[in-house]
Amino acid sequence: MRILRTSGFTLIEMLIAIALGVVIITTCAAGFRVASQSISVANRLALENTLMRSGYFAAVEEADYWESFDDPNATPAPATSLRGSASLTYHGVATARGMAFTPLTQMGFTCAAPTNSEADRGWDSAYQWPASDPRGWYHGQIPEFMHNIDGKFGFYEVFTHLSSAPNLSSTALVQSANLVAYGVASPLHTWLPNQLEGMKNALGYYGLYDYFPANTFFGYYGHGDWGDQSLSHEWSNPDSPNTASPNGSLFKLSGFSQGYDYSTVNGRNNNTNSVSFPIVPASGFTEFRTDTLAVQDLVSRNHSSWVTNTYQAAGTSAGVSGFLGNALVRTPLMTSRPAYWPELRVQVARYANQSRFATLCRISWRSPLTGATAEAAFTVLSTTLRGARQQRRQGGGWATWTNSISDPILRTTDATLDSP
Amino acid sequence: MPSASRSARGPRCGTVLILVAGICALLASLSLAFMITMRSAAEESRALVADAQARIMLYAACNYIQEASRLGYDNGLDHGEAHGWIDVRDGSEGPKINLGDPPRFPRNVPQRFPMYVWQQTRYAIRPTTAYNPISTDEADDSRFGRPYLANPDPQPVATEFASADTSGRVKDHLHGDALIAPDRQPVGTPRWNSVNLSWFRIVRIDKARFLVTCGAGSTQGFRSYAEAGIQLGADSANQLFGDAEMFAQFQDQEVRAWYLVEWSPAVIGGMNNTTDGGIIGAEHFIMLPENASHQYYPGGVASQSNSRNMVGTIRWIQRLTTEPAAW
Repeated sequence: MRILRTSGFTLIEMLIAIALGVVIITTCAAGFRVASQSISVANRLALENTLMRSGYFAAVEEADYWESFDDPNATPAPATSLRGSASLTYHGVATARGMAFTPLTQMGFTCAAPTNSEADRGWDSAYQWPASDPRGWYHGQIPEFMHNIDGKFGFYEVFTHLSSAPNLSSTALVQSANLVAYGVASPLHTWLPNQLEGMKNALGYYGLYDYFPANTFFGYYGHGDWGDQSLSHEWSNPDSPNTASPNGSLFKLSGFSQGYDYSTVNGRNNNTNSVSFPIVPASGFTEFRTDTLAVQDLVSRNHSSWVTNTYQAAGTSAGVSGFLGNALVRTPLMTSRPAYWPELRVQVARYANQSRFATLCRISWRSPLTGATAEAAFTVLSTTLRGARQQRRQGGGWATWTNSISDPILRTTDATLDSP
Repeated sequence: MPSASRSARGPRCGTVLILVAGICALLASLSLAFMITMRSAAEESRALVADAQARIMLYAACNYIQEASRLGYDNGLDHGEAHGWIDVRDGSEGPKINLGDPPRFPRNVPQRFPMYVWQQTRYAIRPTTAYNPISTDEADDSRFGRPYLANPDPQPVATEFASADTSGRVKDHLHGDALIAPDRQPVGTPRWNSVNLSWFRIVRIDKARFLVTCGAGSTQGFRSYAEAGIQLGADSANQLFGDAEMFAQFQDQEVRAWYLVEWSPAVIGGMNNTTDGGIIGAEHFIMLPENASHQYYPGGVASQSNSRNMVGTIRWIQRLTTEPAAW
């Protein structure tokens, strides 16, 4: 009998084949799973990198265009925007004060027809402040104390003064020092004191530091406790009435705090070496919700400073905490994102400190891989406040410029925030 | 039978082949997806790097504007010092060495500055604290107690700068890798991986106002292929950029930003002791001399080295919202 041999598997062959197949499939599945996980990790890392990149671009865009501080397309400007102004009272004198984006025309501080003389008043944006122009020099006695103008080196308030006709006959001062009653003087140099006073009131403290040359002496004769015969009080002997509130220190223009007798005019370095002067935006994206402030409060905070160089004040509202709560503004990103999407935050603060202007950019994001929050902070050279104001039209929108090869000067064709 | 055995192995071999091929296809598709993701991320990162490089060019341009206000102008055999974009002596337009001279940097003429890193560092500075100590030798009437700036500050490690002439090692040191040139002129050799990355252009549009174009890309700051042909010659432009179409592709891949910048003659420092914290107690009426001796006292440093900017400062910067016509 012939046995028919068919080509099948024996049981042993099957068992071995199944065992080998299981091993192979298990290995393949494990490999596939690892590969999938790697892809997933790579994708999440790529997503994290994308978040960082998006944050960077949002931050530098904000650094160049200042839209978190003033949205030029928000017309008309909201009542509590930085284009507002209010009256503040200091030592019994009420003065109209503006903020960083208040049009100079609104503050009456423009110079429509400059003559380049000491008689000019208001800001001339075309003037480029040559060092050779005596109008820009400080003609006072530099080391003179605010309340000790004792005439060691003469009557300097005769040469330069806020007023064109100061009365230099203070009885109190004459009795306490070596002075004589001079009478009414006619100082030759009144332009610089009026530029300083006008800009301080028009734009607030940050704007003042931004607009004036690096070597400016911040102070002048006039507006002092002894009237025309002392240095200006707000500049040279600042008070700090609100140190316990989130408002910072109102009217504390100078960071120099050596005491009453050591109040002098100061340079920018000395004024800013212990305190910071931020621009406080009117934004719902600040910790203190500065968009809810009354205009007068907002103006006050833009005429204030915060102590940022001491450990003691770091956690207080008068120190770094208050400073950041007011000044650090978040750029809204992905506002309608689903809750489970990774978070990205971009924050920017503008302030003057240690004689420098800082544009602090903070990018923070939640890692889609680990869930941990990371942060990168940097500063960037970008549009300054004056540049940002020149970008904007008075009535809203971006300013336009002449744009011709034959006329490359780029003259503005719109009235900007600095135009008459 | 051999034929039966071959036919029996065939389907099994095919099954394994299908399995292996399938798995390979899966892995390949995963790898492809991974590589596409990585490439996409790399391209996006490249855009960020280019933006950062263009922004660095704003720093470079501002530094150039500051330094060119005073330095870098020869007057025949002398190295003259200019007096600012607006001359500090009379307010006329500079920079120039002598009053009455025309400005060395004309208006409305774009200047191009492709940037790279030198192969050899130009300066290795000696760690000397005071190059110009005030003389304490009472017998020396000409120098005793006087803060003369007799020696350059700082000085290179290469040699004793003050005692050397302008040739040889000192000049080599100042010129970096210029020693490759027989006449020791500063030709410079860029690091190969630093060229064609970024550049800036400056147009002076007013006395002290400038239009700065910051760029990151391969055009080296030429605005057009035609401009490259005019400045370099047709052959060189062709070797560098190929043709106008390729140049246009380089342009499309570039990052460019335009800024208005104003220079100011104002400098920080100088009378540090009177304006920046030195008015304390007995120093009330003291005017310490400015010198290079790093004199320290409580409350400040009365030293020239503490004067930050001797070449003016940048008054303001404005990013332009649109491309200007003339840059």
